[in-house]
Amino acid sequence: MYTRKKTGKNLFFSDDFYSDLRLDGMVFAAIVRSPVAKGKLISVDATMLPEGYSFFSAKDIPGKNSIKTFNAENSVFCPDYISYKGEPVGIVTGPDEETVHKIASSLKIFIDEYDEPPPSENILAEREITVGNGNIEEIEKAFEFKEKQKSETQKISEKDENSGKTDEQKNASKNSSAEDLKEDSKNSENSENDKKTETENTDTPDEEKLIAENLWISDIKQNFFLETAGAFCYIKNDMLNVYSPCLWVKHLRQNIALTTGFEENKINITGTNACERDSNSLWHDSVIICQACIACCKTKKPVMLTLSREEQNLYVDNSPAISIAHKTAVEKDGKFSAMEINIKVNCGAFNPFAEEILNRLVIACTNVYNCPNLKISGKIYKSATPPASLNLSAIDSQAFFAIENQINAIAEKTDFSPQELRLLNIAKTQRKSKMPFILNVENSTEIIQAVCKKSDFERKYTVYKSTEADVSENIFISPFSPPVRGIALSCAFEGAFYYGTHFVSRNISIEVTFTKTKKLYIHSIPPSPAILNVWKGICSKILEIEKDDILIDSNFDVSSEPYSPTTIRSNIVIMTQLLKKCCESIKRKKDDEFPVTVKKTFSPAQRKNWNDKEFCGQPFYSTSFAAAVVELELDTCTFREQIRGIWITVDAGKILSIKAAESSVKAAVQQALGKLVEQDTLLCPNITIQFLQSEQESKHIGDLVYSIIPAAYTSALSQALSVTVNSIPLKTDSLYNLRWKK
Amino acid sequence: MKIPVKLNGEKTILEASGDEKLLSVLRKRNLFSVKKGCGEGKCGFCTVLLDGKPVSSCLIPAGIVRDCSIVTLEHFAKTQDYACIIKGFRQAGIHMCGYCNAARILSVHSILNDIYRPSEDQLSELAQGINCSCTDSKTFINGILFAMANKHELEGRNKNGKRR
Repeated sequence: MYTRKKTGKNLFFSDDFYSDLRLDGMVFAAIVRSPVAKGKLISVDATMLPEGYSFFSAKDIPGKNSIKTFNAENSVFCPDYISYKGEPVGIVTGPDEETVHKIASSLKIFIDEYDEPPPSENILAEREITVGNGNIEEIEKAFEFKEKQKSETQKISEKDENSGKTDEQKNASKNSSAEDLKEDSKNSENSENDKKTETENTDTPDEEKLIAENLWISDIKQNFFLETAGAFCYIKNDMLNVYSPCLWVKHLRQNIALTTGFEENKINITGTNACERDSNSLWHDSVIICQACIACCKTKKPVMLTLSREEQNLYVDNSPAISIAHKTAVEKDGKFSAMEINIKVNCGAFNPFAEEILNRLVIACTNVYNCPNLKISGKIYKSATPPASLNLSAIDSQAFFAIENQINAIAEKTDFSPQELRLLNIAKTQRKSKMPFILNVENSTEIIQAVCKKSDFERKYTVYKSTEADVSENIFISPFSPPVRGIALSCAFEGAFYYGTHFVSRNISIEVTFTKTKKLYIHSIPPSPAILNVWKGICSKILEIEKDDILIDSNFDVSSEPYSPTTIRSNIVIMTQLLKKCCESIKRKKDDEFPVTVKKTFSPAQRKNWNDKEFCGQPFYSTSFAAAVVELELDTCTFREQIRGIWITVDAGKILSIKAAESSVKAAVQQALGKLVEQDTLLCPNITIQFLQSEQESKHIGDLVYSIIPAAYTSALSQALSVTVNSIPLKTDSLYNLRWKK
Repeated sequence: MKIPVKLNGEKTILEASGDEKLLSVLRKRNLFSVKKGCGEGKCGFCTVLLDGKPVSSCLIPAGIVRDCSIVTLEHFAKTQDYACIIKGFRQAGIHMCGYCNAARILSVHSILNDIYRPSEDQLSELAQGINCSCTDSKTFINGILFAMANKHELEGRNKNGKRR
């Protein structure tokens, strides 16, 4: 029999949704939020609350008014100085859900408003990297700046620097992160056009060299309509029971203990159905759940806190607005001689993961390309907007959006096709590459060639490019002109398990038990059905047992519960490898040794490949690679696009279940298309996916799609419109506006 | 106000204000298959059958459902049609997330009831109306085709729709 010790169980999992739970005598809760972005909180007038309704603020917190995330700390309820519009100042509870929400939005909050922020550091994280000759003079020489250009560029960069700093001041009254970046983009687009004209006409010192300079802005928001963040909690027998779809249990438990004063082993957490939720709400969830727990401690009643859809969009699913300026010098043979990349991120009022966001963007901003002279500088700014959250799995997609669009823009201006340009500049071998990051994507050339062949890219691209000028004129002749078409290529890598992450400090391990009755128990948090299917496939093959005899044991006590968020998906790759090793180890055992428990831990030696101090080396445990071609058609009357086809080729190592892999990639394409245009979902009836299989370890592929689709889509649109589309998401009238502005 | 309806096969009186959303009224009665989604009728997560037709209950004021028949997924799950659909979904390898179940199952029920053999376009249109990424549309359409075959088999019909 399976004899795992079941003591002190404090972590459970359930398929229910927390918002569907009910208990007698329960009350509903709603957050009271600051109506202004800056000011000193004086008081909240809660004297006129109806009977049965209560209000609690920072001073009512039984424990500490603090949520700790690594070394960063933020408050549960604003104690004094408001740092952004919508900051929680308290919580209202009462028996009727709608009434609580009405009260929360109508309570009188007295704030001593001011425009100037208190003096504080505006930059949350900063990084600069130079490659090649290692000094800026060499890079500038590669660009062959003339004095005039140089001074102009300096002016622009000074302005850009200031824009981040002045954001705080400017944003006191308006919610502006994306708007400011877009404004910057417009200005820089104008200056870019001016400079391009100069470059093309007279100022190019070397006629053969092209200098392309563009600003790419990505402000993609999550567009889910699934259950909003929240929690259901109650106290029974001195135990605080919490039901929530929280993804980071350890963080939650520590912070509930900190804010409520309950001991960690007196808190039972049940992870409810998290749907297709990604890690975008990692630390936000803990804040919201702690707020519910505080209300529960104060009222002594079961409390249900559910964010409204609007709150979810504004405060939980708001990704950071990212702008990336690329300046690339291209030689006549198509090779990049220099690159200057400037990354700017507005992370809102607070973000404990600012450094990690920046690091991931810096690693991804050159994709797999080689460049002898490179300068990357990145800054994460703080502003008076709600704290931007973090999607750890897809944060680098913004960097791919910029670099891939940049290459497509270069191809448009040269005689090289996008495919040629990429193949010329891909770092063929890591030894020859001067880049600081070793990515191990050997099959990149094959992948790009395969997707181009499958989609007939070269032919279509040449045709659309050659007819671009005529079509561009036709749009103006008649709204009944035939539709115009565009096609674009994009590629990206996906690193599984970033060695520089905060979570790397703890060991990743998996434990399995094989019983005499040939049942295998995997001690793990419940994986998704697709992953479970893969795990069952591996284990049943190695141990020659039925899939039904493989069971997940999610029995954790406080000391053994996972340290990392449960959906840091990159861990799945490592977990799968560890599971495989466990099974192989069990297979070597003799029958009389059963039941046997085997534990395998991820070797710390592998992490030494990455030098976090010097910021170089191999940043990921494994790297998958994919390329996509998007072909679309633009109706010249309605100025709406229709996607004709999407072709994707993925190098995913050994595919354990083709059906599951294909289905997950297709679902991701559907989701990625849904984020490209605000308030609209693009559809594609023709999605072709091919996998380049190998005997290498299985690689994670789930988030690759988010990195390759946006750039291919905007570049294809740029070709169809003959106007550079440099930001996403678009609006339904963006294309019309862009075309007529031109 | 008191609103007489036939809810899940039983005559009952809903107590609600006329402008209260049907979604909220049903959830108050612990009918949790009706999920809160976009609140604008886009996602379909709050789908119920109103007089046999799938509707987004977040768009329906309680005042207009007087004397109507309302069926939620809880009740529909007891029918043979449900069994055919779920079997079809399993055959296609669909794992629903739990939040979009009502949207998918009730809309499939409706289309299979109205059209003997829906065209590809009709199925695509249906798939596009469900705003959840847990299942890609091609797999979902496959699931509908399996469900359709199961339903026809149950009804004892041949390819031409005639009873055997």
